Amino acid sequence: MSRLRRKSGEAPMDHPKHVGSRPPFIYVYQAIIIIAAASMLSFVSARSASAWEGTLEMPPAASSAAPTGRPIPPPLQGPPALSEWRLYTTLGGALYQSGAQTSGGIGGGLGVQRRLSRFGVLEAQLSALTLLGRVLEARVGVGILRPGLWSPAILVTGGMLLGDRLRFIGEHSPTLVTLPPLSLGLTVAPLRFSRGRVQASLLELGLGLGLEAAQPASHLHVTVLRVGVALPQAASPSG
Amino acid sequence: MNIGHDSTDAAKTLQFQMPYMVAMQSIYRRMFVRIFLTLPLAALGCGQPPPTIAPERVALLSALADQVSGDRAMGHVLSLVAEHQADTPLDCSQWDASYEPDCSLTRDRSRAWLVGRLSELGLEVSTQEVEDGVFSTSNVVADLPGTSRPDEIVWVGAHFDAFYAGADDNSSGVAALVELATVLSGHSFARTLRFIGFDLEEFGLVGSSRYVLAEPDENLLAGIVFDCIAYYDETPGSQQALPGLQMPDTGDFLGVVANDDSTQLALDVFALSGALQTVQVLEVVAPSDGAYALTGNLLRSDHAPFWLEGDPTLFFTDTANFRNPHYHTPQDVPDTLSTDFLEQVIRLSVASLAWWAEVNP
Repeated sequence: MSRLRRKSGEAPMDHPKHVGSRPPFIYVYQAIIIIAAASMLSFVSARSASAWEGTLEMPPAASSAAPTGRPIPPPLQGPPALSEWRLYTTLGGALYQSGAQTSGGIGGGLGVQRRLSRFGVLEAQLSALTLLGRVLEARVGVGILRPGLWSPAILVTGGMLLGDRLRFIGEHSPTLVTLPPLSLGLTVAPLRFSRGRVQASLLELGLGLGLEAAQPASHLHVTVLRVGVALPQAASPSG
Repeated sequence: MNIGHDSTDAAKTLQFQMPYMVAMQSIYRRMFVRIFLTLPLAALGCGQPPPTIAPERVALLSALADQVSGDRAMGHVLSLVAEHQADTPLDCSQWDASYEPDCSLTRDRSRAWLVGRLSELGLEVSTQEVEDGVFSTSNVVADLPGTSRPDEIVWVGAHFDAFYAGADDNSSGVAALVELATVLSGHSFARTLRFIGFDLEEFGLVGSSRYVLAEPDENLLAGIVFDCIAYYDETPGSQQALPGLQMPDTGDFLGVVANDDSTQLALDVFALSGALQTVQVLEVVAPSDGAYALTGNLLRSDHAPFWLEGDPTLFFTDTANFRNPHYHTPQDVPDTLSTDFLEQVIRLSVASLAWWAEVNP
């Protein structure tokens, strides 16, 4: 059996469809470039929205509390109110492993977050991963988030990996698994910070149990960096 | 066996004829069905089971497998090792031989030995030559023509070049090839059976890559590649896991590496290993053609060029350096190998090839 190439770690293969034409790490570079570009756009978008301190609980513009006998000042031309929706990008990885299949990789994705209440939050995210083929990871979570500058969160998350994976057939998994990996678990985000429109988070960790009846399975998810921006609130029909 | 392609081809033709909107609706419908109807089944651990093989077919295949002789196969290993040891290594000054074993690579005498054994069995033996200086290759091809569908080819291959004595890597594979030819050449099959000796595998799958590029239109229905198939160790800790894979820590199983195109072959082999009580099998199915960053270890033999061409091919191995401490060293000698394990691997291979090629009763 041939050895691996010592420098690249690739299988040695003198075949035009492999050598030089499709280095696997090109997918990683692509993912990193896309995520970096998306993150930069988020920052630029946040900075260009002037230096106002927008929060989800913005007080209404000066209005009814004006003292009597004094002229009412014109309403301030402040920034548009923020909606409860936030769009974010992530960079990280995931690994799902059981006796029947292995899936995951590293990459990045896009997600939306919606504040349900002062503390409640709902998130949905789609990531593209590579290293073990081409994988899409879908995650949905619901949980609580501390309002304020330091806004750690904890969520119950459901995850699903679609696309390429390694599958196993053997004594402990005598059938070829055909359905995608599913999991249910917890995600903690201890280093999440919110200021104005921007929210950033470092090192979020998710651990789930795979929903395979015959196999113990784990789903590890790590977000290295996440950057989000609150969406402007849509104007009401009444103007 | 599930090798027919007619229904798939018809479906593809039909799909191309569908108007765009209808096709999109079909995609959305499939997505909906997949997400909302099949996912609940995932929790129940649904999967594709191996095929059920009729008892009379099992009896027929078992009778074939019983003709395999482990002692005879080990005799082939001893002969091949003697040929490698008597051979003159390739002149490693002609390339950057920074890998120490490079200067011990031999192939000429083992190829001549293989041609001689296959010819003695009455097979149609030919060679596929490519001139390229020190990297010239000469693959050995021997056919047992099919009786009713000769253009459909079921094949088995092993590389005959080796570092040092090369007992496990890969005299064991070539010995299995010859033992298979010995047993199977005494029978007839609906499909053509092909036995291939690949040249210069150790330099980058050179011979097998040239084979698939030279014969792109062949109808290769099923194939097996042998590479390191006779090292066995039941000692706990004797087996290392390939990165990213869960594996037992005892080196007492046959690794069968498949990809998405060869999934059905892998299921067949698993079913036959149980039905014939041959050897414990652990199968890994790589995604698509397996050419990804973390699956490089699954592409380290002559099956890889066939995967890239979309030909269904399995790779049989004892996992080489993940089990055998003598991998690519002068200590890779016959005394370290297991005759019983080699015999069981060949029995399973005989049954699999006969199943796919449709042995005539």
